[in-house]
Amino acid sequence: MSMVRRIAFATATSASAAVLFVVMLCTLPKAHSQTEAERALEHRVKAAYLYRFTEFVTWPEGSLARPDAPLVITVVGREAVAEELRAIAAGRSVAGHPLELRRGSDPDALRSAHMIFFADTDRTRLRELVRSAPRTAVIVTETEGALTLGSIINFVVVDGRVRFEISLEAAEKRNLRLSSRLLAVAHAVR
Amino acid sequence: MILKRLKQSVRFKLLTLMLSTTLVALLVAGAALMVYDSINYRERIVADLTTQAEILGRSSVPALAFDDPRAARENLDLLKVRPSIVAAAVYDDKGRLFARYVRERAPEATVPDSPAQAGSRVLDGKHIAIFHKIVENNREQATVYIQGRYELTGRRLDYLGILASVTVLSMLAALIMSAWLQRAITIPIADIADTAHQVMDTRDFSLRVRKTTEDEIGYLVDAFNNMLAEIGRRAEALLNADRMKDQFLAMLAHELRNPLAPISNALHLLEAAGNRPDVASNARAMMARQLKQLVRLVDDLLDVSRITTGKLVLHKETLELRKVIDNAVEIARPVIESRGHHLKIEVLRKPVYLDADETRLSQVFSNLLNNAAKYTDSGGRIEVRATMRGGDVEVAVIDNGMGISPDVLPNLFNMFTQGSTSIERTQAGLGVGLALAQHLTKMHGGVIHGYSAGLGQGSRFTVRLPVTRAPAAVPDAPQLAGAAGRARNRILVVDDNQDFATSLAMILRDMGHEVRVEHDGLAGLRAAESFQPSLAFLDIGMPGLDGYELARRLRAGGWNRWTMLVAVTGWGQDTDRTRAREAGFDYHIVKPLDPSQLPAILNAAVHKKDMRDALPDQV
Repeated sequence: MSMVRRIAFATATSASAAVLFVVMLCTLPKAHSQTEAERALEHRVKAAYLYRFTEFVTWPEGSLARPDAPLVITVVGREAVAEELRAIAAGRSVAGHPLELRRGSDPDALRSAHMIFFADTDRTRLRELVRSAPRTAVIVTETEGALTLGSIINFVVVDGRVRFEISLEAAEKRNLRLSSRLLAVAHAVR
Repeated sequence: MILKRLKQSVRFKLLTLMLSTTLVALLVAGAALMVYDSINYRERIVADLTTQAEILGRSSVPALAFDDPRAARENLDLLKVRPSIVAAAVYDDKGRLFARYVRERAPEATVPDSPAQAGSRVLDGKHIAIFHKIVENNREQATVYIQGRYELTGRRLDYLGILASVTVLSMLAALIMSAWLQRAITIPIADIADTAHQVMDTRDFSLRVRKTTEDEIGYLVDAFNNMLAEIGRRAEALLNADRMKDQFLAMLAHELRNPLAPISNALHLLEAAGNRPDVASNARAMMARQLKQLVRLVDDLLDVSRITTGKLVLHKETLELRKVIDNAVEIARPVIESRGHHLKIEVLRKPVYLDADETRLSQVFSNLLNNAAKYTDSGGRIEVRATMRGGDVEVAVIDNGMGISPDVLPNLFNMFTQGSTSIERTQAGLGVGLALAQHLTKMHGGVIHGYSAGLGQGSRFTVRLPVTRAPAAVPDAPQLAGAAGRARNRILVVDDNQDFATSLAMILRDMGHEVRVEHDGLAGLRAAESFQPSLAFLDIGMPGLDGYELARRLRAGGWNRWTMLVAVTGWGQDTDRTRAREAGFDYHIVKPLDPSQLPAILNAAVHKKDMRDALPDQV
């Protein structure tokens, strides 16, 4: 059985909860005028969201062939997010699939990824990276207009809060199914 | 008074019954429903709110995960379509309030700042609230709070209202049913009651209740009417019996008095006869005849009394029919001969044996013969004919006399029924002859029938009796030594009736015996000790020492056991005989004592051990 309908975790992650708490209390007036602390918070929130996205995504059959095959999240750029995610994912598994974090844009790191976060990337480079990404990977970006470049989930900051927009078309192209519950909380769905 | 009557009536009871049954059933059912609902209501509401909370919670999980309170609020706002929910809230896994909802029309409702223990609680009697934890991916993701209306009191009031209206409607229905029941049940019953009242008041048993239904009440009406008819019949029968009894008493007095006049006349004749022996002899013959008639009347009376009290006992033995018929003819012969009838007897050639009481069965035929002789004009023909009918023998007594009118035939064998009253009263009897004959025949296992073609056509009576096997050997009848009867005996007579004692003593002395007379028990006891009689006639009812006691003392005194004690008494029931035997008497004679019985008794006194053979039916 390679179909993963819902990825579940055994216990609440105190890390993500802490992140949420901080995010809720903080208001981020503008990305440009972020302080160092505010930026760190944003990274923590994004790491937590990346982790939670796995609960609402269904990968196509064959993508997670063996029951104990690792679920690979690759972070390209943004070391801070990768570090936060490593802390969250350490020792965790999703429905029997242990979470595995990889970094960098080399073909090895990308080839086996189920979810790839392209951090802070300009559109031109992003277009190339998306094209080189494996067929069934969830592409997560934080670049304005990234959805038109093949991204599936794109972080945006709305009213100082980290939100995300979704491209259903891109998800369909990659044979990925996104939970309607995820769509309900998306800032925008295209 | 009217109220009291009403309360006693069946209708009132039925109405009360129906109303109270309905009321009790409704109250019990209503109370049970209310209790059930009170328990159930909260459970249902809690279950409903929990479901609601689960749905809300699950749809709010992504909102919590991605920190989107707006999405959570939108979820909660969907509760607008549920008016019974006044407030709701979602808390995150840390117990922080994430989103809240308060119904617009219930602005007073509040949401707690932090979740409490999961479960339900009643807030103010009007609201109930639950906290529900949402667990997803094995992780406690959120807590949902929902506050809904909880209107137990209002609900109870609603129930009471419904119960009240149902009760009123049911009472109305019960009233209508009662009216219908009254038509169907109480009116017919009231009819019966009314008729019963009338019957009791007027004693008119010809009244009947009108039957209106075919159910149990109809049956009751029929039964009641039948009972009335039966009571009517019985009342009439009682009246008839009473009338017959009166007639019988009048006739009995007459019959008993009839012989007294000739006896009285004969006494005068005897006094006046002087030395005219033919006159004296005529007078004595007349007295003897009339006495015999009197004795016969009293015997009949005693038999009637025994039959009506069921104390008549048969002493059966194997008998030849011929002997029975000869006995009967012998008894009836005087009447038959006095009226100059021709008697023809046709008995079977082969002897026929019966298991019967000789005296009683003879009585049956002698009664029939007596009747035939009485109800046939002088010089008539009387025939006795015996024939075999299967295993039975049928004896017919046929005459060519005045016959029986058809209206008398059905009552022929009833007590005190008599035929024509035109015949000589001296021959009439008490009208019990046929009744006795029928009863005795039945006791012998037989049947008796009477036939007549009508008045002047003669009559025919048949008695059918079962036949028994012949006895193995017929023992010779014991020979009574005549010489013994003429032997000289010492005889004691004790009786407080001086005339009876004296006359009996005279007869006995006349027969050549030595006689001593005493008039009370104690004197009798003393005399017996000194006189040492071989035979003693003892009265039973005596002053001082009664006959039973006297006999007991004589036997207890070591008296010669071969001395014979004879009880002479007016009491002839079987119990009296038993008592006499137990007291030590050998022999029991019912007054009047027939002098013709004396030789046998005297013989028995000499051969006491033969006494039972000599006088079988007397002991």
